[in-house]
Amino acid sequence: MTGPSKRGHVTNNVRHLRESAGLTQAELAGRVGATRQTIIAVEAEKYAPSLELAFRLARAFRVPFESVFDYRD
Amino acid sequence: MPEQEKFAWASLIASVLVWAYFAMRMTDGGGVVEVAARHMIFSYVMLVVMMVASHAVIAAMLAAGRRGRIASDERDLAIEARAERVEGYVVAVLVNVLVIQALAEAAFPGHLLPRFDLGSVPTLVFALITTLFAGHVAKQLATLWQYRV
Repeated sequence: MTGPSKRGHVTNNVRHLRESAGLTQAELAGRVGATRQTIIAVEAEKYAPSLELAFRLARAFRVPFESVFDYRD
Repeated sequence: MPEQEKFAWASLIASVLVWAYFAMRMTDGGGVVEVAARHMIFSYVMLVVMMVASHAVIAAMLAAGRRGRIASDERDLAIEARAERVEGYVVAVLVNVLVIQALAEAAFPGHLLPRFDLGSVPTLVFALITTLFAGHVAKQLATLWQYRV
């Protein structure tokens, strides 16, 4: 059998990008259609967003997806 | 605190109070009382009315304080799904406890397991309602836990 033997971890730059854009967590939440609590959880890397929300976050910052998210083993 | 967390706290408290009311009407001195069918039906209808009314009030109060904010998103749905899975486990375990107890009672009348006379309608009703409440309480606790970690 093949496949990853252990789970990786999704990291992100959401906090840095949000602060650079001068947005509050609530403002970013409103732009991407999420709750402020979810933005807090994403920034703390306690929650890995769905692909859809991840793309909406990248679009909100007007940067490529891979500038916002990374995956580490 | 997210709206879902507030709802979980309020629902937990309301559910425990409603179950306490039901238990007060159905039990005495730690055992289920052989009450008349009319009494049981009234207690059951009251339980349903109180649960629906209390949760409608909670939902309305939370909706009033929302002020245009998004009520829930994908993370809330994921947390709810996991909490419902916990609820399912709790109900399944408790139903199996009742089944094992009933089978033990039928096969081994002198068994040493805790005894519930499930042949008695009030006991059966109380056990099933309590199972549903335990599942609901487990769901709210699982919801609260997931918002805290």
